[in-house]
Formats: sequence, C-alpha cells, structure tokens
Amino acid sequence: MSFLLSYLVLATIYSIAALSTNLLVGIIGIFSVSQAAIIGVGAYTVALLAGVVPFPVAMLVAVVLCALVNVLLALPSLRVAGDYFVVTSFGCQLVATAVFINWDTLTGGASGIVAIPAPSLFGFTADTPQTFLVISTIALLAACAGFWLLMRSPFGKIVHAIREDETAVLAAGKNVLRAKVSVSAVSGVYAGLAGGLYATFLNFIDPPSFDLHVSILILTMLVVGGARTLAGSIIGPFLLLALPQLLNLVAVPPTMAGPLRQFIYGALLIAFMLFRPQGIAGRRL
Amino acid sequence: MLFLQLLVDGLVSGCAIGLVAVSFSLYYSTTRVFHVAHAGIYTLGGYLAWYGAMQGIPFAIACALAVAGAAFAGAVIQRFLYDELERREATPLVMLIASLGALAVLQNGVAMLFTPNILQFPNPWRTRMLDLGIASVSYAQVLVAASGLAAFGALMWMSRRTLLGRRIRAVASNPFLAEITRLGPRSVYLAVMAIASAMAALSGIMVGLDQAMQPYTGVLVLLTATIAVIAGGIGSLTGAFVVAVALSVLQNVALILMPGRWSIAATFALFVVFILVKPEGLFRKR
Amino acid sequence: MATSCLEVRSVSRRFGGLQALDACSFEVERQRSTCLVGPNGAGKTTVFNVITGFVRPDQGTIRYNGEPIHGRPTRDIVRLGIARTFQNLRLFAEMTALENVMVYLRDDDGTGPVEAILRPWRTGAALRRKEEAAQALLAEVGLGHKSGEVVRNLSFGQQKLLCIARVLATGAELLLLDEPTSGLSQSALTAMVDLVDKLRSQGRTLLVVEHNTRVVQRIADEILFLHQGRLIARGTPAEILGDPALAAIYFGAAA
Repeated sequence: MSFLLSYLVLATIYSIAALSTNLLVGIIGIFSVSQAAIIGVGAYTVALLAGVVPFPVAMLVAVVLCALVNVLLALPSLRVAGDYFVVTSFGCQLVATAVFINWDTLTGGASGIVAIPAPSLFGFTADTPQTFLVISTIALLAACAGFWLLMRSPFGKIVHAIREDETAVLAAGKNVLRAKVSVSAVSGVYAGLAGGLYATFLNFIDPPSFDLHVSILILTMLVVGGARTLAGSIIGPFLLLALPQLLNLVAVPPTMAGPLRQFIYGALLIAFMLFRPQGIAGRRL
Repeated sequence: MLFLQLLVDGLVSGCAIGLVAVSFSLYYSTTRVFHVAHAGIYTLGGYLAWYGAMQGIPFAIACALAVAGAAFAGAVIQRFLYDELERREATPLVMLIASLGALAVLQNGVAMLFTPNILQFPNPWRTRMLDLGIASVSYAQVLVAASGLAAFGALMWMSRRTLLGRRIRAVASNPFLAEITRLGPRSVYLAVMAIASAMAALSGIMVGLDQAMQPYTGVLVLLTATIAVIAGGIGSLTGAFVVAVALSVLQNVALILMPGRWSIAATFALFVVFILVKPEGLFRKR
Repeated sequence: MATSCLEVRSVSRRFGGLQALDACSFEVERQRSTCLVGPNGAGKTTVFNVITGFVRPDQGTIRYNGEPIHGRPTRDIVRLGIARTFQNLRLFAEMTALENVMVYLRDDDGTGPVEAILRPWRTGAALRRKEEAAQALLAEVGLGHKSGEVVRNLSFGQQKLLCIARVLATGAELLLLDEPTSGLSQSALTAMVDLVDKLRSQGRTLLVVEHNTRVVQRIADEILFLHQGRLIARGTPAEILGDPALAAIYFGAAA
C-alpha cells in the first residue's frame, strides 16, 4: 500500500510541476525545457535549509528564489524576439545540471544530498507517506486554486489575450511585459513548491533528479494531459507516473528501463503533437 | 606550449561543432523550423559508424553508410513529422515540442539499440600522434579538421554554384513565392534536411572517433552550435562556422584558467549577455 | 488652431529604401472628424503607427494637448487618450465579444496577479463591474445580443463593430480608426457609418483612414490628403473631393 501512497504523493508533486510548466508553455506560450532546473533550485534550497530553519521558512526562501530565477531566465526570451528562447531554455537546463554536479561543496556533487529531514508544521511531522500525502494534497489544491483564480481574473483575461495577439493588447494600453513577467514569477513559485516537497518527501536528491530528461518528462505530462487547462496538468502526471509501473510488467533489463521510458515520452510528444495537440483535456497549443 | 596545444585542440573540435552549426543554420534559415532533433541525428551518425566499424567494415565505408543512414533518418523526420505538422498548420511551439520528441526518440533509440554507456571506436590508428612542432595532433584529429573544412567548403560551393543551392536560397527568402512559382519548397526542404543531417552525422562520427560517444552528449554540442548560429547572425553560414570555431577555441584556451566542467556555463553566460546587447548577431546583413 | 489637440510636425520615417513619411505635418482638431485619404502607400497606416507609438519617427515631433508623445511607449499614449483600431482587426479570436472589450477597458482594477490570488473577492467584484461596462459598450455599437459569442463565430461586419467597442473601452478622447468600412457589405457598411456618425455627434475626436469617398463625404468635417508620405492638401470634403488634380493623383495611383 505504501507503494500506491508514494505514487499518489509523487503525482501530486508532479502536478504542481506541470502547472508551473503550463503557465510558461500553455499560458504565455514560450517553450521551456528547463522547468526541472528551476524545481532543482527549489529542492536544493530546501534540502540545504531544512535542518537549519523551520520547514515553512525554508519553503518560503525556495519559492521566492525560484520565482526570481525563473523571471531572470525568462527575461531575455521575453525581451528578445525570435527562437532565442529555445537556446536560452536548453542552456539554462544544461548549465543548472552542470552546477548541481560541480558545485560539490554546496550540492554534494554527483552523490547529492541525503537525509533531508521530513517537513514539520506546528509540531506535526510528515514522516510517513500518509501524512505527507495530506501536505502535498493541500499544496496541490492551493496551487490549483491559485491557477484558477488567476485565469478567471481580469489579469488572466489579459494574459489570454496576449497569447492571441500581443500587439492588440499593447494597443489597449496594457503592460504586456509586466504581465508575462508576473506569470513567469508565479510559475517559479510553483516550481519552488514542487521542488521543496520533492526533496522533503524522498529525503534524497541528486543531479539526475533535475536533468533534461525530467524537464522532458514534465513537458510530456503537460502535453498528454493537455495544455492551457487546469485539468490537463493533473491528468498528465497521474497517467505518466503510472507508466513505469506498467513497464515493470514487461521484463526489461534495468539499464534499459530509463532509455525505454524516455523513448516512450518522446514518442508520446510526437504522437500528441501530430494527432491531438490539445492533449486529453486541454486546448490547442 | 600548453596554450598552443589547447589552441590547436580548440580549432580541431571547432571544425566539428562548426559543421553542426552550419548544417543547423542551413536548415533553420530555409525552413524556419528550430530543429532540436538535429542533436539526435548527430548522435545517430556516430553510433551507426561505430556499429559498422565493430562489424569489421573499413572505416571509410562505415562512415559513408552511417552518413547515408543519418540523411535518410533526417528525411523521414522531414517527410513524416515536419511536413505533416505544417500541413496541419501547427504553431511553431507545436513544431518545437514535436522536434523535442523526435530528439528523445533518437537519443533513447540509440541507447536501447546500442548501449547507454560510453563507447569508443575500435580502430587502433585513431590515437596515433602526429608532431606538428608547435603542438601534436592525433590521426583522428586530423580527420576531424579535414572533414569539417571539406564539408563546409563543399556546402559553400553547393550553395553558390549549383542549381539546388540557388533553389534553396530562393525558397529561404520567400517560401510563399516559391510555392506559387512551383519551385517546390517541399522537395527543397527534404533535400536541405538530408544534406544537413549528413553533415551533422559526419560531425558526430568524427567527434566520436576523436574522443568517445555517449547518447546524450549531442544536446551540449547542439547548444554550442545554436549559440554560434545566433551569434554569427541567422542566415550567415560563414558566421555560424567562424563563431563555432571561435567558441571552441575559447572553451579550450579557458582551460588554463578554469576547469572544463564550467566551460558550458561560461559560454552560455556569454551568450545571454550577447543577445541582450547585440541580438541581430555579428555577421547578419540588413 | 486653438482647438487642435494633436499636432504632427515634420515627422519622417524610413523603412529600408522606402520613405514612408517625409516631413509630414498636420493637426487634428478637437471634437471634429478628420479623414485621412490618399492613394495606397501614401503613408496613412504609418501615420497611425507613429502617433500610437508602434513605430518611432526618425525625425519630427508629435504633441498631444501640448505634451510631446513621439518616442513614448504605446501604453503611455493610450493613457493620455489616443487609441486605435487595426486594418486587420487583431481581435482575440478565441475569446468572446465581451472578453475582447473587457481586456481593452481602461479600468486597471483586478489586473494584478497577486491581488487576483490573495483577494479573490475584490477581483470578483472588479470582474462583474467590467462585465457590465463591457456589456454597455457592446450595446452602444449594436452588439448587445452577441456578448457571449466567440469572435470567430461573428460575421465580418460584427467583428468590425466589435473593434469600435474595444477602442471605446480605452476611454480615449482621440480615436484613430483604420479603414472602418473596408470589406463590408452594404448593410454592414450602413451600420458602421451610422455608428461613426453617432460618435461624431457625441463630440468625439476622430481621425479616420477611409477609401470610400461616399463615406468620407458623410463622416468627414475635414480631410487631410496624404501623398508619398507628405500632406499635400487639407480642406472640407467639398474642396478636396472636388479638386480634379487630387482626384487624378488618387485614382491615377490607385489604378
């Protein structure tokens, strides 16, 4: 049963991550393969601070830091036109992985950080999957509520309009750049939240937890579930995290399991873009 | 002495990266598709040649077969992915995600068919050294530089002197006009993709011969290459090649000052500053 | 000249080898309807782009109510009271007519993301207020019954009326309308001309690019004739439309 519980916890965490990617890819419409890097920044921050300051403080620092980093990384792509953002995004991801591996005095290098303390709130410690599921579910519900409130507000309407015709929004006298920066800040907050929860749930993080493959996984979750909607960001992670379990049913040598999974993610990306770009429950990208 | 050796090493690997940059630039400026799966073609080329060499096929023949195989794979991607998406009027974002999917399929397909681990070519002559006086280079490095320069020269010649080259430039400058004047942009795209894929594969083979191969390193090469394409000015093949070589030299010479593991971070930081200051690139006309 | 609100002084703008505007000067008078006419490529749309800050003039000054606005961002210019429509409409095709107008409302209440998440009741109230305001504007242009319709499902005539509702939503005093009647069927054209006429009688200041001379005759208080990026004539409709030399330029260049 604990196996099912950890599946549920991870699915809630990845749903928050997918919402973060959704804000960038679906809502503003900029390509991103660096969400895992941002989540990694959040995870490492919480991992390093968790023993030093109370859990909510560590979380707060991670969330603020991730929002800042995400805005900083999005800024060049928001200001400069063209396909430069693809390069920026790949660059951020690869550089972040290099930093996680090589800044070993801080990040523990390739062996990562172990024994990250479980989160505790008001004297209540979430050290079992059951109790953690409560925390991660509350976090996901809060993230969903935030997403929904944002999209329904006048601000959300402006953001939606920007995606359809940026020039027309400029002509309305609205601050387009500010709106996009705000959305990437919120996206960063979600990434930080997901990262902090990830680190304290597994009690262990290492560079491969936040590399390019993970970014592609999150993007696949979003695309399969469907971009631009709330439901899509939740359906995708719950479906795709079940995939490794299905693959366990067929006998695959352990060294091949990773490549096989990623092969399937790639095939899913292609298939959905060709035949159903709106995903299961999303809207057209 | 160390400096000269690093300089020569940088020039040599710059020729390989330059080939990826030029081929990416050729495809991108013709079709406006940001073909990230190019990194997968690069990887595929290297592994196909390695497989041939392991079967005892002479290196030159294994190389030719691998280049042809990669060109075919590129053509398949063009015909059955990008053309299809364009027919469905997919947005650039959708094209990009599909291309990323193709990259994942290629890299992991290679990892599953061959191995996800580090590989080296079996040919013993590749590490034999040649003393140039100021620095020494391996036979493999000589091949890297020679093939890189030759392929770049051939591409420039083709682009300026042949009918296909002229058609490519016509389509690149105005695909809509090309469509109605029956220049046939579809077939041009297919040809460009095959040429670009062949060049990327050649580069992948040569780098694999010189150093070693791993299915996922193509992305790093592509990152440096695309940085060179943008910094060199989109549309300028020479710009892309020159900047790629310069970046590679910079990365190698910087080894005197900092460990190699930071070079990608430094290159990327340089790039971010660059696009904020001079987004139109160094060599772009107009 | 005491009543002019917009002053364009020797504005030039080059695009590559093309001199789109060549030391172009004119004024727009307050509470009047001014039509900008001239053959294709005369620089009419560039005038709009330069006034609204989409294109920076190479030379020259533009003042609105005495304040220099050239080179300032579009956002500031809209705030000061100049708003425009686009020849190619640029509506938000997947959004409803109501939402299209809501995005254009001047009222910035509830447009902050933090507020939207932390004080949802306030943004909820702002949302309802904006819906009402947008609904009223839709009714004013005769689209009150179409507010919930997605733009893609509206007829072309309705889409053009929606553009007027949007530009009204900015609360701007000076409205720049880029070819409001082009491509319209006869009945839609009548509706549009009636609407523009109504705006004029309400005392709004209009600057309109228009090709249809019959429409110009009906809606213009004054005509500015642009040719090769310069103002070559200005006057009443009778003076301009009756001038055979101008007609030769207009139809000669158009043919």
